[in-house]
Amino acid sequence: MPTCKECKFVTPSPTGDPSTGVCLVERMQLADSQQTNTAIRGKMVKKSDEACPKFEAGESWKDIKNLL
Amino acid sequence: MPTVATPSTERTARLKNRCRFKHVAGGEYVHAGVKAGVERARLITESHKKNIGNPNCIIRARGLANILDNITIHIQDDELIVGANTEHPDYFPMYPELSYFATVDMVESHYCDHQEEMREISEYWRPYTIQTKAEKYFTPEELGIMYSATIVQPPMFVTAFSSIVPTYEAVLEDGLIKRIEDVEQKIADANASLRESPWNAQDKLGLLDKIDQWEAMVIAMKAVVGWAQRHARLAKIMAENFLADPKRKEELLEISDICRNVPAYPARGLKDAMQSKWFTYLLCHSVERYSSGYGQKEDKMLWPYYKKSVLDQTDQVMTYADAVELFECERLKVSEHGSTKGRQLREFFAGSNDLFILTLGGTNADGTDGSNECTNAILEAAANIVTTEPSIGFRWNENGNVETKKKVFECIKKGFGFPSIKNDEMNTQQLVKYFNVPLDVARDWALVLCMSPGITGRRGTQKTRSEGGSDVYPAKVMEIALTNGFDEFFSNVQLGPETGDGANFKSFDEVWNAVKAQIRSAIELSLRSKDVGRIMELTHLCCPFISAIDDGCVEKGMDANALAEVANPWHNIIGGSVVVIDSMTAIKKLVFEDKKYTMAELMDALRNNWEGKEEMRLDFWNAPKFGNDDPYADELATKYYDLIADEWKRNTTYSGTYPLPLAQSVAGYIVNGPKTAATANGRHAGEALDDGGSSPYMGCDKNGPTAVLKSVSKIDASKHKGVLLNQRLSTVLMNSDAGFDLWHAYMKTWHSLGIDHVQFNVISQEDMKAAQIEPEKYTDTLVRIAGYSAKFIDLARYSQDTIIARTEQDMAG
Repeated sequence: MPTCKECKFVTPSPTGDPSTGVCLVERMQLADSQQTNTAIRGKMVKKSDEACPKFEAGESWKDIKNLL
Repeated sequence: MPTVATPSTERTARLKNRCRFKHVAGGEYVHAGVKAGVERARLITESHKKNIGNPNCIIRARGLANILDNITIHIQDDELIVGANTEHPDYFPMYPELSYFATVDMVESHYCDHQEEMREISEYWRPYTIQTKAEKYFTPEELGIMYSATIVQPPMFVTAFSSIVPTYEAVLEDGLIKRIEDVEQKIADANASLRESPWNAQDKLGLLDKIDQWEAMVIAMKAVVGWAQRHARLAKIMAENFLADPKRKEELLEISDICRNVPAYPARGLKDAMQSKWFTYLLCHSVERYSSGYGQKEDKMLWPYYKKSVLDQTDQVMTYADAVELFECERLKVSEHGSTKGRQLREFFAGSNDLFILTLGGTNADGTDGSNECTNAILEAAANIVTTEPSIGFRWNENGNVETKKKVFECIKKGFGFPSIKNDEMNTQQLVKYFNVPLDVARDWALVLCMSPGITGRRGTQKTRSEGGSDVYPAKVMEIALTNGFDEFFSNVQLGPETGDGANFKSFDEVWNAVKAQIRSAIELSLRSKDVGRIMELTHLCCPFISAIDDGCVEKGMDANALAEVANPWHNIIGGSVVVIDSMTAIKKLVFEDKKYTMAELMDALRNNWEGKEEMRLDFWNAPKFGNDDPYADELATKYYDLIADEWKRNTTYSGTYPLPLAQSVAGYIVNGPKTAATANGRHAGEALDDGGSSPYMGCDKNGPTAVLKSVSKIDASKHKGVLLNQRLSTVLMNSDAGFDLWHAYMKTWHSLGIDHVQFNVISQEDMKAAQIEPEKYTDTLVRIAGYSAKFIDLARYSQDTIIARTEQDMAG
């Protein structure tokens, strides 16, 4: 089974701690009252965790401008 | 319309065209080809292995010398200012002695082409890094809290972030040869003193460490002179052997002459001063160690040399146009400079390279107008070349001349987002009142980082310190104040003390006290991490060159990290303060006054991200908001900001006094949005936070620009190091015939209200949306994030939308 480490939605941890990362896959469109369009629900993950059903293989840095 | 750059010469047009920009987005370098240079890491490691066992200052000095003696140097076509921190213009250096995590992060990335060697180097350094040295003073739980980057920024010993204001003037005025002679005399005097009769250990033994420090300074300064001479030789060899173009040949011979003279000897004119300043910048900020910033009062520092070269025409003669070209070259040199921040800081500076901010304007030491023709040349260069870096801070003094203020306006009107503007009188007085700085010294202040004044000159400046790091994140702090200190949303970690579940709070005071307890805990943890880091720096990361150019360090024989001659501590509170203010206001009104909802209902809605509760969310969204001159919301803002100041005031740092809080955001309001659950101001989970300090939440300031200023003026800014205010102004009005007059009137109101800071975006909604569709047409379109500017097209969509979302203020309204 793939792990979070191999997923394109997981960015490296803010400290560079090799064991953790931040998952940015969960997004929602905002209500019309709000001035921006998108909310991102971040999640701290262990890179060795088994990947969730939203897994897509890849490296986050290649598509970082669409992630954050 | 897209912004268009107008470089003043063909040279600077060519330089800009081929500039190897190093800015980042989402923590990653934007331009392909940017790589991690290995030479610095290799050379410092080689030297460390040979010198282990010596005093740390000597190890560090020899490490620096080994780098400077052996690193590959290069001079690029067209350059007038030479020197770099790496072996290749596409590279940035690595600092394995700072943070193990930061090094590993880089080594395992696609930037590193020497992974095997660098893995070995990072493992060699692991026990010696300040990260490893500092971690033992914290529990695993405390490290887990800090490393989650939720309520506080990870500490400097893992982000490797610090800042500095080099004592440039000592180098420009003295030259290093004189300083080497002075320090050698001190060593001779100390040795003689050790041999005086009778022997008195208590008087004499302290000299041993001083002798080590002085010897380290001499090693460092001699290596620096040698490094400059290497550039002189390279320029001469290139001129005499490889170039046919007589004009470039002549330029290279002049560069050779300049590098032979500085920094060894005093600067003769503006060309010397600029080159000497650049070498000193490289050494202090990125060769001896990494330190952020571009802290300098540039127009004041360069004025004597500008006067000699441009006005008096006595040395290194040049015209005003030549000076403008030189300042354009400087901006491109900074843009190309490879800065190596840890990942957290790269994420926090979205669209930027580093926090390069120089300061202009204000007053001279005697109180007269500090703006001069050199100020105007620097501003004109910025307006021509259109680069995000270095950003400019302008000290707005009531008595400042209008001609310079017009040049400030021209840059702002073009949409650069800078100069950002600080209240000169207020910030000068603060240095006098809080830090006992003599008035004439205080009047020479410059921004150390985005918006934090510190003194400049020959001694007592902020040397390598982490004031700008270990920030507190207030929105997350408030979130856990309602969830018993536990982070249910992002990390599943107990982040703070158990202050109860918000669902059970029966009064507004209970809410307030829970927030206060969590803020206190976050402040104390982050301050402790800063000071532990500082001790590790002075014990294990001496900076002999930085010490050698500070008159105080030389006089006392002390390392720059150890000496705190002028205390100037501050502490950032990053993005989210207005979310807290607006959330508290809504809770007070809707739960405890109107009693329309209970705390249990609110907590249920927040935990479920308002799902199925849109009507309730809109009630909270439409509750009174800060930024509308509404006394109800503004009263809470005042109370919140007083609380912040009081909570920091309880603590004493290494510098011997309490830090002043500084409310701003850089791109923290973007990065921290996804880590923060739904909030009681009607914000959804994962939505961006407010963009810092006193900037109203996106779209919540509905009563015009004066109402914003009135709300902001109710915060007592004198208790804070800074309180950031972002405003977006109408492009139509700013570009109209009345543009300057309207803006000038706005600025006078801003000043008369005693507000600390303001910075502007001047870009239309249409242009930003067009840039999202056709980015290739908007390559020079800049925007202000918060504390720095970035190219709009280099921002991620989520970040771009937060700029579009800011309210456009109509000054004529």
